[in-house]
Amino acid sequence: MSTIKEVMMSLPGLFKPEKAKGWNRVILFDLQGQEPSQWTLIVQDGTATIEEGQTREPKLVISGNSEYIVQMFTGEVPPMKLVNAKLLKMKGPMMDAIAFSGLWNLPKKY
Amino acid sequence: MKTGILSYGVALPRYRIEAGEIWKVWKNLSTSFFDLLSIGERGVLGPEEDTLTLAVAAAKQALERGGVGTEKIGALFLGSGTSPYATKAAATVMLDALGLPETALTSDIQCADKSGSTALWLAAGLIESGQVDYALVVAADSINRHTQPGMVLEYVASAGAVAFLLGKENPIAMLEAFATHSHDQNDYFRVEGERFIQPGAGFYGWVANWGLLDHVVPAGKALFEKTGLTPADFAKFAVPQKTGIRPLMTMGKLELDMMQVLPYVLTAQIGDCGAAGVPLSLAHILDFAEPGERIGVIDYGAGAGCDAWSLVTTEAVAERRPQSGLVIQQLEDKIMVDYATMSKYEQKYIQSPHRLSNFY
Repeated sequence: MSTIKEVMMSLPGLFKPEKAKGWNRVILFDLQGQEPSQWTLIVQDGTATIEEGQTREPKLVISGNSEYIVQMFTGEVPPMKLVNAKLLKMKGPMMDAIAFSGLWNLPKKY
Repeated sequence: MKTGILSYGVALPRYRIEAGEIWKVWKNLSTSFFDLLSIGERGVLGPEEDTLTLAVAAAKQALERGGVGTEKIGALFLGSGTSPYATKAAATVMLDALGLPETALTSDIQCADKSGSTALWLAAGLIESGQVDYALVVAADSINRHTQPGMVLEYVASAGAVAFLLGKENPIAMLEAFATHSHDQNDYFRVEGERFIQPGAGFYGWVANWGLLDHVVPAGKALFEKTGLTPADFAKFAVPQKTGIRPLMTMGKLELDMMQVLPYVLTAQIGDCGAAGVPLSLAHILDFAEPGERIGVIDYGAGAGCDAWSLVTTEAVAERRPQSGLVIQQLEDKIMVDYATMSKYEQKYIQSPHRLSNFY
């Protein structure tokens, strides 16, 4: 299984820039589990960048175990399954939480 | 149709308040509603700022971007439910402030939150029929000034203005089709002599958006039937966004894709801009639109009615893309204030109607 760092660093490549024009947000991954860590995702002017740690004040916080984030972005588990089972939690405007899920070219292994 | 949008302009209050500041004073809503309804920050009127000043600012930007001489404007419509005047057209003040010709057909148009859409299509009819060559339409509201302190509406009540310059010569987007639906439904109203907007169905009506789907669904479906289009034929939609629930309800019932809608919802950033709300979302879309995109507009007004319409961007949308004053830039250019300052700026403190000065 990929590490959380590998997954986080892959996010800019999975990002759909055409869906995020004008959608500027700071999103924090606040992770526990196998690899406790924090990652700041900055979506700005149609590009996504990732920084280790909390580097900016987020508008949306995604929390849960790092292994679930890995499973989500590597396409092993559908994102909504993780959210519905409350294995991942999103804190912030619901609009942003839902829109976030549509910004990625996720592989599907399920 | 040969009529389209030549340019647009936006004006938002620079002052903002975070929902938590309001909650600290009233504690009248479970904070879990903030995320559920996508409540975040909302606009606060500045001193001497109101529907009219915002409307003039937006109109000036549209005129500057449009490059059409003011002497050519044949009609000016202000779409608003919060005109500073109960009797007297506010649009005539705009006419003078903007230096538009006295021969221009000038009027206020009121249909609550969809006042702007309705005004736009009335103006388009004048242009399409050859009665005027250019028309300026402004959607503007100051819902915040007209919201009672302590009502939950206060968490989102905001203000803003969006102006559209219409004509036939090299538009950035061609107007395509229009459908509407109206019947009496008393969801939000303000009677004569009353300053504050009342929710006809109370707290439940606010959360459940009573009235919305009774109009949005028939109007939206009518647009699709009239044009033979399906939601998949559209790139993006600007939809009602008084709170973050409205886009989800609209999206679900009209079977729109979430990524056609959600990236253009600005509720958490600026709140409920009333008549300027959906036009603001449209302006945000136009700021980044590519040529050939079909955009759907679904604009709901309390009372109630819904205008659903479509437009298609042209090559000019990329050629004449605004370089400054984008919606996102105006949203990010803000000064946060506390509840007391908000109350002062929005003139919520009781004062004598005979007061002549701030100095005594």
